[in-house]
Amino acid sequence: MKDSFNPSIEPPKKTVTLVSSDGYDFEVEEEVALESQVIKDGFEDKAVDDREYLLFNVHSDTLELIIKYCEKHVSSRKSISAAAASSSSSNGEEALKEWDEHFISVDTNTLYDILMAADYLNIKSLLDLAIQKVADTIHGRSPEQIRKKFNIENDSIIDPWASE
Amino acid sequence: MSDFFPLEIVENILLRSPEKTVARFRCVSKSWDTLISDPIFINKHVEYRLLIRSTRIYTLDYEVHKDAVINPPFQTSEYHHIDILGACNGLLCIALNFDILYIWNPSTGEYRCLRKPLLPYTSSYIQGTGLGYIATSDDYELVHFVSNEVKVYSLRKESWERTIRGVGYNITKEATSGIFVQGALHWKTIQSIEENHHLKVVIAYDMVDKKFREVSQPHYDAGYYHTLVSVLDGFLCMFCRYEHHTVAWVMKDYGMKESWTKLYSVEEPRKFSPLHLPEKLGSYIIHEPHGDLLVLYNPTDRSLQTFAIKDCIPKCLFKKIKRV
Repeated sequence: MKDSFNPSIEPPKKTVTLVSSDGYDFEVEEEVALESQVIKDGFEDKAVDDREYLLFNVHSDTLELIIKYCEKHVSSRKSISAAAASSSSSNGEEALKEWDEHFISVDTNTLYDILMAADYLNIKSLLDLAIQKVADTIHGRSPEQIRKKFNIENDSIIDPWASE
Repeated sequence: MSDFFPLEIVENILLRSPEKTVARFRCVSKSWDTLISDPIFINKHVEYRLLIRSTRIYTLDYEVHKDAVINPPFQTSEYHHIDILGACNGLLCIALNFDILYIWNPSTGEYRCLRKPLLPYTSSYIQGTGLGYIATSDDYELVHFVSNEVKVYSLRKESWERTIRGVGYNITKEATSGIFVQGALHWKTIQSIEENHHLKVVIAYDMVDKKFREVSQPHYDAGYYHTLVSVLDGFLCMFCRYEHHTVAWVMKDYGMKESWTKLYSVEEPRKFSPLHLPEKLGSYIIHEPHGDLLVLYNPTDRSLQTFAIKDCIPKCLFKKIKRV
């Protein structure tokens, strides 16, 4: 995470530290980390000075993306509800959808990493997004293409022509 | 075994894919085949659809407001009269020209042509048909009755049988395409008690004990003029039509008359009649009988969206796809 200088007079936000599988520390705001249901569960029981999470299954490359996603969703939710409260019109949800679509348009390996990390951290909206993306990409593919894409050994005893 | 995704993730991915795609992926690997063939998966992979007969057969995906023709793999032509005699777990029973019967699975393309039933099947007969499933023998049966004769075709035994018991009701209205709920087929029909005394009844045929019985109906408010038997979220359901609105009832505890519960009441534009009112969806499907139009109606903003299908004879609810 980049540390940016913030001269505002707001009190410092509470942060937690996420440690990636390759040993990098990511300091993120509490509410961003709480997007993960796994972190949220039992969060209150943890001592305030012990808010460090070792994420053995998430590589730093992926964790950076995951944090980017959570930060975007936390801030978008705020601006959407602020717009609703002042009853001004907002296309926040549309914009977020577009942002999501752009975010998840990645190569197969990155998509796989995001999906598995979202599953591990239990971030439902991101898991849904990634699963839907995979479902969209397999649409119209042949079984052989699927095997190749997902690195699946062909042990099938079904004649592929029989069902056509 | 898939090294890439764990199977529960694969399952989640496949649940979001159309049935056709999924059926094709059975040959990806053994574990994928096991997953896709599992009844638990099949049951989760439910896509409620409406099945429409016009000159052809259509499916209606009302969530995405799309209709699509499904073409039977067997020979049909525009001169053929196509009728849907029943639908159960995604299997269809089709009659061509009141003559040839097919059991057909549109997702896999598998079908079977049945030898002609002994009972005559024509549109002029007072009769009922329906396709139901028997869990204990994992079998599908086509039920066909004409006045007081009942014949049953077993998909597993590949043969017709005449049941000993008749309908036991003096039915005076045709009742094709029974609704399969709770192990029984249901039809709404009119029973004549005596010369000028007719009653609207719902009769059920129990697939296991092979008996007909009458099913109690809700205490409708006065003033209705039309009812429709259907299925909503696995419950037996009655739509009761009044002049400007329709009330949906479900039988929460099957077989218990007191358990009929009024779900909701929807106002609708005149001249339309309800066809299907999915509980979870804001909009619902209505049917304009005179123009034979099919319309998606949203009662909140009163918007109407017309489907492209013309001349439709809406038939029955169509659930998920299962292999024969």
